[in-house]
Amino acid sequence: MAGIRGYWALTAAAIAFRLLLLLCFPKDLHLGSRPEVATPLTSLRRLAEGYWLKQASMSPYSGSMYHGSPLLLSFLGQLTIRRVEGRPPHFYCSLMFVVVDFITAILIRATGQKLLLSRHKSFQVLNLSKLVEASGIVNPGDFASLVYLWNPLTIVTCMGSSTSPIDNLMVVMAIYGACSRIAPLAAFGWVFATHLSLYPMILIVPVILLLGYGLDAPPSKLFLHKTSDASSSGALNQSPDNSGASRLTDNTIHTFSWVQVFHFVLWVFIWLCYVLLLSSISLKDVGGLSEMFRKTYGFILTVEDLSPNIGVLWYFFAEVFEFFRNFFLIVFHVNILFMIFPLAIRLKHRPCFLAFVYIAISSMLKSYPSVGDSALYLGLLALFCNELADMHFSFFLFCGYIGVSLLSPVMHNLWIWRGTGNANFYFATGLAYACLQTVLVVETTLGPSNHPFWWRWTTPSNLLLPFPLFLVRVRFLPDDEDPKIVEAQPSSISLPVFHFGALLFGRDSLVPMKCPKPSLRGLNKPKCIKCGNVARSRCPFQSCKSCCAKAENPCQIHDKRPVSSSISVERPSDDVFTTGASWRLNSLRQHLPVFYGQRDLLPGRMQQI
Amino acid sequence: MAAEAGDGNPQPGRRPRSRLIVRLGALVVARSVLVSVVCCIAGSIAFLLLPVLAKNTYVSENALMPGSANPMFSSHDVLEANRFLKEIIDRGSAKVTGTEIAKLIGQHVVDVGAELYYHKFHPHGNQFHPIHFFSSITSTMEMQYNSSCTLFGLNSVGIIRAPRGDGKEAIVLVTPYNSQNIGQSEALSLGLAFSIFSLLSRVTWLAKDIVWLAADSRYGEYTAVDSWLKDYHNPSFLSNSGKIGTGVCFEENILHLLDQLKVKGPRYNIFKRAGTMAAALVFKVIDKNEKEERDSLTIYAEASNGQMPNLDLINIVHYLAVHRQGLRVKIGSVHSLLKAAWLKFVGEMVHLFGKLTKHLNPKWKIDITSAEYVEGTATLASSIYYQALGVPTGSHGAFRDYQVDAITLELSPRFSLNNENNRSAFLLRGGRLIEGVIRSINNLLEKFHQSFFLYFLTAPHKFVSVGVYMIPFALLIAPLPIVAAALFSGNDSLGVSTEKVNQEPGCIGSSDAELRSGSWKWLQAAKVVFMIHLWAIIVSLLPYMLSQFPFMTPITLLLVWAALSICTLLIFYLIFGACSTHCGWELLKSVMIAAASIGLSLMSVINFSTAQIGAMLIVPMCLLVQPLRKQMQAGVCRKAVLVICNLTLAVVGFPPVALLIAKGLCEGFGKAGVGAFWELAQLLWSWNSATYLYLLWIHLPCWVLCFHILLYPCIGRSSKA
Repeated sequence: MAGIRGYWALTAAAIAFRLLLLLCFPKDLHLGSRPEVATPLTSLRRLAEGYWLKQASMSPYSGSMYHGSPLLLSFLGQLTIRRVEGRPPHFYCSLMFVVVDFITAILIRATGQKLLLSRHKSFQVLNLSKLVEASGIVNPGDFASLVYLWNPLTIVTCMGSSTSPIDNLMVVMAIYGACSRIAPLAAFGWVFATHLSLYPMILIVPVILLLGYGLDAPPSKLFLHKTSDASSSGALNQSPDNSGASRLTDNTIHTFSWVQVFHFVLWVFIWLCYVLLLSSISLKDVGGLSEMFRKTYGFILTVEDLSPNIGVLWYFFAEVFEFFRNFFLIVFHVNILFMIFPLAIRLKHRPCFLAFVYIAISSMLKSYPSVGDSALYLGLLALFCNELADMHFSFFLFCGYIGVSLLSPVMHNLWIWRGTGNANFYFATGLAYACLQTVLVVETTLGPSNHPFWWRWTTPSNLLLPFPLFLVRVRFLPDDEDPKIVEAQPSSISLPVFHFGALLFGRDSLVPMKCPKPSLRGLNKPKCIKCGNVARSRCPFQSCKSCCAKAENPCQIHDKRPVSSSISVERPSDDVFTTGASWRLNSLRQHLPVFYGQRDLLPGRMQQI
Repeated sequence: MAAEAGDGNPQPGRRPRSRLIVRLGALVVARSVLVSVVCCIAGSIAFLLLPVLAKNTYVSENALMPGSANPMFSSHDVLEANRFLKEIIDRGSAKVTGTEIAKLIGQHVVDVGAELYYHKFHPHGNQFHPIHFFSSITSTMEMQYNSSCTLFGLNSVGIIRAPRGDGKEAIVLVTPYNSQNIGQSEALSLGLAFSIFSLLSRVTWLAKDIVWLAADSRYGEYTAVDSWLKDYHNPSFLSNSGKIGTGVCFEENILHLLDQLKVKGPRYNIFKRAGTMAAALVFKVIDKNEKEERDSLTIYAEASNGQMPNLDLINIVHYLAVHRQGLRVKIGSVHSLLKAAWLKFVGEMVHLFGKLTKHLNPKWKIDITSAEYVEGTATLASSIYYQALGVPTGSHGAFRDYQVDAITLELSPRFSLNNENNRSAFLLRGGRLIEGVIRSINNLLEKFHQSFFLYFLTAPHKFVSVGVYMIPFALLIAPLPIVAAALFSGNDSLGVSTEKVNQEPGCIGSSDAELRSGSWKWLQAAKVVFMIHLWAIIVSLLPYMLSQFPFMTPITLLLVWAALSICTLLIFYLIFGACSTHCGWELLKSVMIAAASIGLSLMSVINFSTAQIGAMLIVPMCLLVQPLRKQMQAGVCRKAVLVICNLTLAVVGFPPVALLIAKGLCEGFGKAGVGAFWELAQLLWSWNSATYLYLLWIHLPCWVLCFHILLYPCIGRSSKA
């Protein structure tokens, strides 16, 4: 739980580094003209042009130069025209972006601390706090904010005279507001982020989930199980600890606080009116709101500007026939919307993570992406550093990001300045970048062992099983874990869902379609000779734990903890690891070796239980 | 890469049938040693076979139509050239002021009816710009003119406006001459250029403007051409605050200068322009005094950073020279390779192999004699060397920076030029050649784009295209990611079992706790690699500070540079070295290899030849390196081989040594002193060569890390590996 040593020193160093870059390289860094950094939407040079047009009593949108918000014009316009001799052209703006970056980092840190607290709380509820201590935990807030501040992409964006730092701040503000359940702040962040760059609109789902359900927690079926265990044991023991826990559990999962959501909607309405009012005042004599909508959102949605960027859309729409343009515009934009619903179902209990996934997906598929978007989702990714400690491909992704970010300017140089390359050279790096982002999203969301460990031991090995299936399974799961009953039920329900999952993710999704049973894990394990259930491979009597216990075999494996509900009732109630917890631990002990390949990996304390 | 490594070892029982591609990847990673040996050998063989795979060149752009029209350059023009030559020689011997010849050229150009102006420039030393490569050309405008006013050169420029053109395109002819000390051959090249120029002013078919630049090569050809091009593309405004110094200087001198020139007509100091340049020809006459059968033409094409002009330009020159004018076309080759016995042996082998394949299938045409092979290899080696150096081989290099295709043509006569008849015949051939080339380019409708930009020449009429020469390189660096993945995955499975051992060392603080878990352990190694690369960047910037002290000999500078570098390295070790030993050398090697492969692939895009030569040094070094202590545990024979290989590679791979060896092989071991490397480095950075950056940002850190791994103290699990 301890924070990172020297956090403030490192933060100050990051700020100082930015200032140093700002002061030492007055002219050599032409970052603002790089297509990776400044897009037509975020370029500060275009903003200066729009401001100039507006000062000349013309519509800032005339001439297809500026496509941002009119509020930014009033906000940053003054700063763009002030010049200092011997400094970069947008010196004051860059200074402001340094401050904005700092605020974003602080908000990310606060969000991370909230996440950590909620994680501890849910572990306490599940009686797993020892497990938490066993695995070292980094403070995700400190870590993520440092990652955000020191990410080269963030630094480049900050220096590169683009307005993406402000967009990022608004998104982070929305998430922070929702995490700390401050409805006005969340609504403010969401409305402004949507107003500035449109794509954060889809963040309304995680924000409402955050406000309704609270922060990321293990899936609710664990709590359900816990509740049923606690009630069965608590009926006899009347332990204050258990009943308190169960009450807490009830509070944690069952309530969806409509009041908060209602507050949020109300505030969204207020802020929306406010933004529209301000915009219309700002554009009163020059154009109007309709032109603003056409030139900002219309510009984003119709992909008018085909100048190269790191995305994939410009190349496609430069090639596509005019007849099919509208069709493919719809296809590309629906692509993002298509992801929203299944991901929301799947990650309902982890709204913060859901927000990260949404941001990553939209920054991959948006019409004018820049490295600023990557900086944001990489920063948010670091919030889940504890959950992702076992992530696959981390090294591959790291090398890939470095390679692509170095190769992209070289290819651009080869195409534009040397003339020996062509557009395909540059587009190739864009494709590679998109692939990398896909791998990142898939690995963080769906990768086999990348889930927090409660996923590991509550879900079967195939992780593409969608959420409703678990729900069904948990409902039918009796206390002594008899998979036979379970397996009979859910296949008919799950089949369409599998189709959906296969369409969406296409990754190993054919496996569950052929055999949509949840208990794949039992297939290659030794069976109990008595009841046919899964048995421990090392049990000399080839029995499952319940049969072993019933027969009272002198078994080395199962005798350690002969668990059954009938015995555990008689145990003293002050033992933390009774009943539900013991069930979980047993299944944990069963499944962890499967995931790690070796039994020795279990933390020492777990083995002594 | 690591993706394969990740899924490479599916845990037994969890997923009995993983995907085919995953299993294939796992197979490749598991057999990484075999794969890397096979790939390296295949890459070397394919590299040696490049001269065999070279194809004949062909004119790809149909619009060029070389040689379709009869040449108009006649004996009348030859007479004119001779007359001009005599005048120049008279003036040159009479008075050496530097402006006499410019005045003469000016008068003749005006007489012909073309536009004339003089371009005055100040020679500037090339400066060190490590970041310069990525920045656009416009930033070169801010070059500092700190030289004194008295140092200047004077280019004379004549422009013919095309009767059939719209003035949007131009062809540039460049003849460099030394205005202080003009020789007969330079005078002859000026005469040739003028006769062509006067012919072109009379023809009716011109669709592009003709610009004739008589470049004053008093301070070097390149400087003159480069500063003219810079002014041509970047209009300079005298009111600009940055240029006031130059402006004043210019104004002071210009009156004096014009008095000297005494050319009648409008003001000749106004810079005039003529559209975008379609192509540029730099030509000069060299009297080599070598007895040959025919007049010969040498083509130089390499521009900065290994860029080449479009192959079509070389094609038309070659076609016209060989098939119309009967000249002998040469390109540079490495002479030491021409006599190498081992190369002859390889050539014989290739010849035998070709015969064998012809027996098997008559359609396979690997038909090359041993002599052809040796010649092709020597030419290819020179082509690769000059591209890798990144320094242009002539003033045509300046054009390439502005995306203009340009080559240098060096004409040398068969007999001495003093003989009038021989000279006339020679001039006739040269004039017709250049006229034909100009007429071809004049036919162009677009820029040169049809043919190749990325190629090597193995003979004037044979080339190896990018699709072919990438194959050996790809084979050579393919083992890098595979071995990195193998090491990484091997370490992954190892790390799980020894995790508890790893928890004891105190290096990992609570903040780095997540590093303990297997997947992110590589971050420690990445930190070390990153630090070394950071050190390398600092080292590469040191010469910039050192060159501020002007009065130091190269040897002193080199020694100071080396001492400072070692000091910084030691400081880095003291600060960050404590953590470096805890991550295990396999992981360190894996990250180092990944960094090297990224660097090599990046360099192959920027300057392929550098990457190719670098890969031949780095790849074996990276693949073979192992801690010496671990090598000691192997068997005697294996141990000896490993240690010798490692040490040899560590010596050869050291960047200065590698650079000196490459230079020595291609240009001959002349005066190889300690200061030579400093001069070489100075040459590289003064030409903004990406090779300098490659050597110091990729090669040097890789070498240091290899050395670090060689001396790695094998403790704990590393010895178990």
